[in-house]
Amino acid sequence: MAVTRAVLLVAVSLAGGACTAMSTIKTATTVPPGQTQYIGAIEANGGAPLELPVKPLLPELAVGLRRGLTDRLEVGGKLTTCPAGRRATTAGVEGEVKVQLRRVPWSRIELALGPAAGFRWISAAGAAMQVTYATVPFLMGIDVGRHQIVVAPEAGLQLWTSAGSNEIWAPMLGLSLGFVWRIGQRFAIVPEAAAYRADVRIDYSRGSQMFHLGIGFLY
Amino acid sequence: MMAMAKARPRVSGTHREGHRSGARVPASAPSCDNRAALRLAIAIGLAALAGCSIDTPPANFAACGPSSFDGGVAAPDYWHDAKPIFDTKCAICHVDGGIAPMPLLTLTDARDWAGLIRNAVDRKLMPPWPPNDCCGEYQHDRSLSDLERDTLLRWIDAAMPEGDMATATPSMPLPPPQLSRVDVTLRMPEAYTPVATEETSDLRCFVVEGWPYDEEMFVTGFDVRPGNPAIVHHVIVQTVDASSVPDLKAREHADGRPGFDCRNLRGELHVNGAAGGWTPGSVPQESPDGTLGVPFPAHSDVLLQIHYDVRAGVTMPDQTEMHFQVARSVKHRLRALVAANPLWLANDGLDIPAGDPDAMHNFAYDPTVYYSKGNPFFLHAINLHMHYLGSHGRIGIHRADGSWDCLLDIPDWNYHWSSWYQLAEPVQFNPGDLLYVECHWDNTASNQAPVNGMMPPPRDEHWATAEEMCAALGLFTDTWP
Repeated sequence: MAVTRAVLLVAVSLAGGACTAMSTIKTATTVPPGQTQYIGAIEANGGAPLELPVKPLLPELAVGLRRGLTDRLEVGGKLTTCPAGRRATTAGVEGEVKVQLRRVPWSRIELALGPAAGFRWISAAGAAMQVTYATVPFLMGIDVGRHQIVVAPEAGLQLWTSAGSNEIWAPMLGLSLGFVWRIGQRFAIVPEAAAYRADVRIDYSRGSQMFHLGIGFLY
Repeated sequence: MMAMAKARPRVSGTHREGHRSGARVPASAPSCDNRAALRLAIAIGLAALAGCSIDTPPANFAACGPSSFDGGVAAPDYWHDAKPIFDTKCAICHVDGGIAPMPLLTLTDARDWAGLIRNAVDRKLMPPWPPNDCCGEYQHDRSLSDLERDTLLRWIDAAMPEGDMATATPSMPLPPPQLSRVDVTLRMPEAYTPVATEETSDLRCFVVEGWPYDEEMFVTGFDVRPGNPAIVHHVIVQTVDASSVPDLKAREHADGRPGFDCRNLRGELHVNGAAGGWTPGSVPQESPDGTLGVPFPAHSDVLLQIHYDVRAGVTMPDQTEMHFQVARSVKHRLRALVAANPLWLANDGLDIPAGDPDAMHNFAYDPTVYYSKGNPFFLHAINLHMHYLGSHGRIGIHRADGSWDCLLDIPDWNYHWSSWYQLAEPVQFNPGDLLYVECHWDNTASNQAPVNGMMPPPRDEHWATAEEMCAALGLFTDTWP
């Protein structure tokens, strides 16, 4: 028990929060065909077993782009990094597709599916871990004037790997809440918060919690 | 000033090897240092598909050098040659009421048990001293030197001659040594009689109130006096915030007996840290001149965890006592560190498959990042933590220059003799060095922990209090000397 707790405290301080932001800064609206949307984001991510009081947040930067293929289909990609030196350095890549399911001109509701898959590499204090994941957020956009609230329940699967350890498969469920604040014709600011619950059980733990706070800039 | 353990071999070179359990993560792949791994990450996931490996120590990591033993005593007798060895290396446990099953204090004792002694000494089973002597040097080393072992074997083979008492080497069975000064004595509030139920061991926790200081103090000396040395197998003294004491005390007597069952707790006990520990054969720990001290936080009490070994069916009561020597300030604050792969803790991260004769997991990281803000620190003591299925393990330092220092090598793991090893001299740990831990388990039918005298069939084991663990623990200071 004491050993488990000691290891956990080190683990969450080093890298516990470094790889939880998945499929973030999304809108329910697809990019018009032939157009490209550029993404920049500043994020903070954290995670730890439910019972552990320490849940540190680590900063992360993201850049990416999305391109509309049809009226209802776009593809995109995102690169992320957490440049915290030897304490925790992450690098990630994510590919995503978004399919618009419903857009009725007179309705205030917009629905889309945005499946994404990615890989996150984490280096902490000379050790390395990798997370490969796939996730499917169900994006619900609710228009508020020319802006939009985006609520996105999400289900996914993580695969954690590290040398000297067996791999860990962890299903996860999450919910994000964002606000697309449109400024001008193309620019938008998207503050976003999300919480996830992952089936990462540690000795006495019932699972793990992950958090995400971010602000995205879309152009 | 850098201090290194005497005669600790430093070796160069490296092997690469991943874990051997389950074969689900590739065992050979590129190294994972920061620069290389960053390039790998940018290369988009290739490392994820291949995994990464950990540099493992070279073959001569804990190898012995040439022996200096050159023949020994030609005709040893009891008084001059054998008795001093019994006194200094055996009598700590082999005394009346000790945890060893018989005393070895007299010639008659030795003759009565000569066959057993010969076998145990010849096979290096006794005195129990698990570390490989060629790895490092430790304080309070109980092991027999080549000369001592040879002397005892020759003496037994020569029909155990008594010799002349007048030639006796002046040594007598020493009573367990005392702290030079005892400032605080704490005792279990009432006696506890352990029971053996479905498990072979009884792990019990007791809240011991009465710590007399409200401000932060430092434990500079520590000793445990087991009330019943025949059954007390280990003692861990942890500090808990006084505000937690009512909750802890509410657990006591839940089963009608003093204290409460510590097994399989689910994280409810939020202890501050350990203030001391004891295993059979331990001697009182005392910092010279109070230079080293373990913090005992302000407004704290003691949570005492005792492992009672009840395999022999002994159910006598125990009321263990602790002695503390304390100081309000110390020159060097002792702190604890741990090395274990965080993924081992989760789900199947530490998989030890049923039937696997040599499951292995290893891990390395730079603890200066977390524990000393990237500054050097000085390692004073080391502990390898596994449970019953462990077969062997080792801890070392992979220096930034590629060389290796062996800290601890346990070639034949025995859970009942897992303990802290105080390095003969503190070892400096520098930023960029990696603390390496490697654990092996034998999960075959022949290596299961008996339950009620029966060997259970092997089952898949993972990281859990009631299953297995693998961790290197250390005690360090930020400065030295």
